[in-house]
Amino acid sequence: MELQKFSYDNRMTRNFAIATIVWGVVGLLAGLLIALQIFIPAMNFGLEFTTFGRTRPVHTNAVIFAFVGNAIFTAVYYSLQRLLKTRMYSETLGKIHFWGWQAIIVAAAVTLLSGFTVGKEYAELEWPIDIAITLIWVVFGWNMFGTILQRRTSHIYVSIWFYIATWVTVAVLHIFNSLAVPVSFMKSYTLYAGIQDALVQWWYGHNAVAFFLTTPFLGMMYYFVPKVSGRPIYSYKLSIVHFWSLIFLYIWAGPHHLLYSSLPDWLQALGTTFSVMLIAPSWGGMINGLLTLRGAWDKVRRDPILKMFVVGITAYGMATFEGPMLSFKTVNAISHFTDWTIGHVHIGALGWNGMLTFGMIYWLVPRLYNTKLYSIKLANIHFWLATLAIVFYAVPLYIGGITQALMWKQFTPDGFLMYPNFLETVTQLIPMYTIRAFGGALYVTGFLILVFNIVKTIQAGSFVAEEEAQAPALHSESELKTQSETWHRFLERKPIRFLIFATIAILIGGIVEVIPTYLIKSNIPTITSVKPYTPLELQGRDIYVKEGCYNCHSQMVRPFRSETERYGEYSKAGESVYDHPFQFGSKRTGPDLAREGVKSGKLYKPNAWHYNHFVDPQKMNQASIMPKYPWLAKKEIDIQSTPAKIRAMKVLGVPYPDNYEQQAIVDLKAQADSIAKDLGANGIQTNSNREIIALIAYIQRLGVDISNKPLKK
Amino acid sequence: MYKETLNSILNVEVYAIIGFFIFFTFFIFVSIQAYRMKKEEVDQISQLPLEDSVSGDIKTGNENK
Repeated sequence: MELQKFSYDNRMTRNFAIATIVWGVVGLLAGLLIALQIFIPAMNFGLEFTTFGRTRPVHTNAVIFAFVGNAIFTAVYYSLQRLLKTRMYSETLGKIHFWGWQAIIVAAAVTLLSGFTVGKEYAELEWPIDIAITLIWVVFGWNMFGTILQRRTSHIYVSIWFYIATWVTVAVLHIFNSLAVPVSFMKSYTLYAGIQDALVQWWYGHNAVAFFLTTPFLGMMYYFVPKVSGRPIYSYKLSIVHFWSLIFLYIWAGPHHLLYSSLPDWLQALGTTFSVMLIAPSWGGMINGLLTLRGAWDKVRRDPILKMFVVGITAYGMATFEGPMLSFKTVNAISHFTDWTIGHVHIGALGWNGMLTFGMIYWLVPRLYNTKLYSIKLANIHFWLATLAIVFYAVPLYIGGITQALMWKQFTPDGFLMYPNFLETVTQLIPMYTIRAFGGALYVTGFLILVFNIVKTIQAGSFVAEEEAQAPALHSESELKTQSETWHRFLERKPIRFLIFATIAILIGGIVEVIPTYLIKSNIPTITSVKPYTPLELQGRDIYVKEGCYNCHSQMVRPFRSETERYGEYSKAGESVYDHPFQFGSKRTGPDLAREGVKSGKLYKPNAWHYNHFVDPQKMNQASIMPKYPWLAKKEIDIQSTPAKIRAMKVLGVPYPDNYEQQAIVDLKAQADSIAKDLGANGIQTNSNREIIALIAYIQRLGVDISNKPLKK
Repeated sequence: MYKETLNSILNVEVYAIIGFFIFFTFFIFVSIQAYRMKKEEVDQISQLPLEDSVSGDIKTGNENK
């Protein structure tokens, strides 16, 4: 058979690898910063751009989309060419993909710190950036499928199936979760409201974990573990079952993020069921990865790269066992809203994503630069630092999370809450937060050692931009399934058909979950007393979203006695029908706010208290860890944006009266004046056009609508 | 309260059951397909990541000792 000569393009692989390292430093340092901010309020620096509510999304976005994202592209641009024995389809598309993605990351960092956010976790970016992501993702897909179609191998290896599933699912998730009505450039309201928004968001959120942090890394695992160990994958048959079960099941599991919330019960049960079933394919993948190293354990002992892979895959196994456990309602009742969840995700992020990425970088860079790794010893030190770091990071959060949950739930023999003051349960955690930050610092140190090691390696080598290769041309194949091949074997040489089947597999779960909530849209028990927000409250809500309050405060009282005792009536689906976006939150670093405005409630505070508390929380509670928000008392409400916001809300179906847009400004000013007057009566002189007034109006509205009136259908 | 929400959709739970059966059937189908693959074929495919190109690999220092 005639051999064709061609060359692999290493430039994009190199670019993405360097971007991975650069954004890794940024993302990890941002993580260390927020780990310190959470127990040292002074670390927020008193600036709006550096408070926790804004820096935490920067950390999550930087790690997920910048660090892990670039690592995925590094792996794809390297392995795709070699697995298909062809060059990448287009250098131009590669360049657009690379620079476009980096531009998006920079835009994300700048806008998030400036307070432009949609207010949905891991999907915070505003609509123009969302559109840019979609376009760049299409460019990536175009380049990938172009490459697959010009391949010289008949068979498409399992890694590539995972890349295909990643591409299609992320596209679907991103588009549907980002649908919004723009109010202006850089401000929009999400299309969905309340529990629907929550369901779509966590369908997205959970599958961002599945299809951004998991499937592409499984693709990496199936390529790099055999590559580095020099052994074929343990069981190729298992990988087929693993692949289809995993992508089919994952998509259903999202509702486990909303257990005990006002999400319909059957959906919660569905989320739990499929989450538990997920153990099987997840562990199938883990076992397949680990057993690939059977008989090569002497190699593992010597090679830091294989050690990193082993810890990474083990962390994957632990996290995918823990995940289903956390989705049992009984466990979730304890874990949810606490630091346990944070510990859980970091086993995945630091262990699985981090370790696999480090291993890949240590293996790849010397090859791209035709040299040896500068120091194996330093790589070993990095391995040990990172492994210890994971322990120091996660263990205190497990202890802290469980401790806090038990304190929340503890009653005295007389039937009162043992720790009625939420702050008491927070101060308990400070030592744990300190140890966690130490773990984070260890991890960052290890990564900086990687940076040094890689820089030295690059300096010693010379970059191989074009790597010569040759392979036989792909002989023409039967369009139809031949007698001898199985259905799956046939599918594996038909990439487009493969894409379609993978898409169907992931859509089934999404459709079954989301469609019924559309059907019930008109049937969410409308509570007649629940009314749209006043214009001032709406502006206040936007400030609440802008400052990222949802990063630390939930608005979802679960139906437990310990919660109704502490906060008041549990949350109903009908309460949030005008909430674009929903603000249920996922973590209670501070108390739940769903009943904050109820005058007869346990948490009610007068306007003056809120004013002083926003400006300086430590003045009101010495032990408080909340950042100060003094600028809220200085900055003016953007009153002129009100008509556009009301108009957008009306488009979304919020029942404001006809032609209310202009009246809205008058109403806003009147309500603001009354709050300013009340503050004045309590010794606080302030102009009524300040942001703090709007935020107080919103906070005082929370829970008010249903507090006095009975539930009506 | 949940029942109230879903009164209008009769037996909404059936969605979950159908979902499970779709998955289960599919799972069995894929498992049989995988099981029926020929050994030589499987071995050949498994080798794909290990054979980068016919011209051989660039040397690196990673194979340490």
